[in-house]
Amino acid sequence: MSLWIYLPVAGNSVSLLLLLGLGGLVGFLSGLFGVGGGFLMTPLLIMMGIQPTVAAASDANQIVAASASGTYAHARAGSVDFKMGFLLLLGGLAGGSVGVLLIRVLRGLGQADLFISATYVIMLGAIGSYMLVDSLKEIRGKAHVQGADARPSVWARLVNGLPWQTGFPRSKVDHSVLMPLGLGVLVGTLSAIMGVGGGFIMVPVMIYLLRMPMHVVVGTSLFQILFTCANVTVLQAAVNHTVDFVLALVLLFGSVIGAQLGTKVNKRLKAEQLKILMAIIVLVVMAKMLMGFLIAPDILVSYAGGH
Amino acid sequence: MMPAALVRAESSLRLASQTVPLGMFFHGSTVHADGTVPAGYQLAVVCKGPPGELKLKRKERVLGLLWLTRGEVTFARVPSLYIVDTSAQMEQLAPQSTLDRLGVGYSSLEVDATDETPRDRRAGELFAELVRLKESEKLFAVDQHGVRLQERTAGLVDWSADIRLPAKLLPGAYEVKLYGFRAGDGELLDSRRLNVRQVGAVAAIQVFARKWGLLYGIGAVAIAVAVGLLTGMAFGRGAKGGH
Repeated sequence: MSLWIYLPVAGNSVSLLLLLGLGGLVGFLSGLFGVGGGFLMTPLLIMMGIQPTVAAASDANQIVAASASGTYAHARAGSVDFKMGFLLLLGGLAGGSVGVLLIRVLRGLGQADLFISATYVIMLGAIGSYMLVDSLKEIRGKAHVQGADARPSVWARLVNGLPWQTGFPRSKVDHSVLMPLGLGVLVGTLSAIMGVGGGFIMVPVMIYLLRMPMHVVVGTSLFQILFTCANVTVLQAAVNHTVDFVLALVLLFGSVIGAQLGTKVNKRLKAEQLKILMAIIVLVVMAKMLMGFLIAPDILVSYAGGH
Repeated sequence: MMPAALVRAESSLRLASQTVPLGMFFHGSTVHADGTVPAGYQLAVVCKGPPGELKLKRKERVLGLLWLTRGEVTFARVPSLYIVDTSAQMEQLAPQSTLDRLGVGYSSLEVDATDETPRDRRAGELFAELVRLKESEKLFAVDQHGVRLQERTAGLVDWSADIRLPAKLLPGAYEVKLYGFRAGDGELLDSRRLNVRQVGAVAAIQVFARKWGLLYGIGAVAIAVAVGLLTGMAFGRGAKGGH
């Protein structure tokens, strides 16, 4: 049997084993941290010679499988907050539209790429650093000794003052419905600007702003990503014809197995260990992006599209 | 000197295959080309894919520090594939103006690629970068010893070349042309069409994706969800059995 496979929509031949391995690795991260992994997978597919537009659209297709697999595993373990996930999803869809409009305005001003790049580095740097410091504090037993005084009280007053308070039993928290809706809009806007699924922004938002338990965060994030990526896949297939199902199928066979393994490891790790690992990955991605901006590229042109 | 019509009559270009099938396990291909030409000629074999407009992102240094994408650059007509095999160094074949007129060598592509109305100034500046990008994907290549010549009797020479088609190959009507050079002049001696087409499941999926995009997208999502859920159930049962 040939170890190479020709992708009909991408018009390229790639290594079957490499694709399966890539799917497995990103699926593992997906099950472990509740992220889609698009921020990792799409650049790697582009490096393999796949057009950016096809890489991004087909990646969304395979994330549907990984997140369905992960959501099922987490739902069985009772760690998906469907009510919270649905509200975040609604906000995220609205935020996506806001982000697309914002990018259009910035493109008109000729500043879109600088803005996108700055948003990427600042968001990744801030999220990664905060998570790393916070989880190190937790491990040393200093959690909530500091920081629980000044800002959280202002934040708590603000949050508690919002109307339409409701309980989220699965997450063991009470919030106004405006909280997940508003944060969904924020994450959806940032996702659209950065061109990614937004899992690595949504996870810290759930942990720190919605105060959800880590294990519920991962399952709920996957539940939300499932719908976001299904929507992207159908739109890309219908409008741009850029979904390569053969590529997605090979990736998803690797990723669904990886997602299950990731979910199993997730159950064995403590919340602060998960946070540290996630923080390290976010910071590594940020450092890689920063290097990409600082080091002169070999070739000054590249194909358009992708994340 | 032999009349041009007679040279063409005595020259030939044969392709081992007129069609390149893009099946599920395609991973690049070599098309053998050979024929005869009158003695005394140096040769160039050019394989060219269908031309099309190409939009690329261009990177520039911003604030003297950061390399960022700063808009797009549009190339008017760029062949999807451009592979040149020659029997001698390009500069030994003919003057640059002759090579450009015939379409042999990268610089001959520059006029078509950058000739746009209104003209994209950056396309001219970045043409060399376009070539480097295409070379990195093996879609553009020049092999200056790719054509082999072998003298035979009656003033004729046998020639042969292997045209290496890369793994990243799009379907379409490609053309293979044989050029002859002597005494600083050159001419087209013969040409053949090479059909690159998708076959079997690859063709079926491509047609489905193009013609019924919405249905294709819904189907892709449904299969992805089904595979995800089935794997979840399989692992779930496995975990139960283990306990």
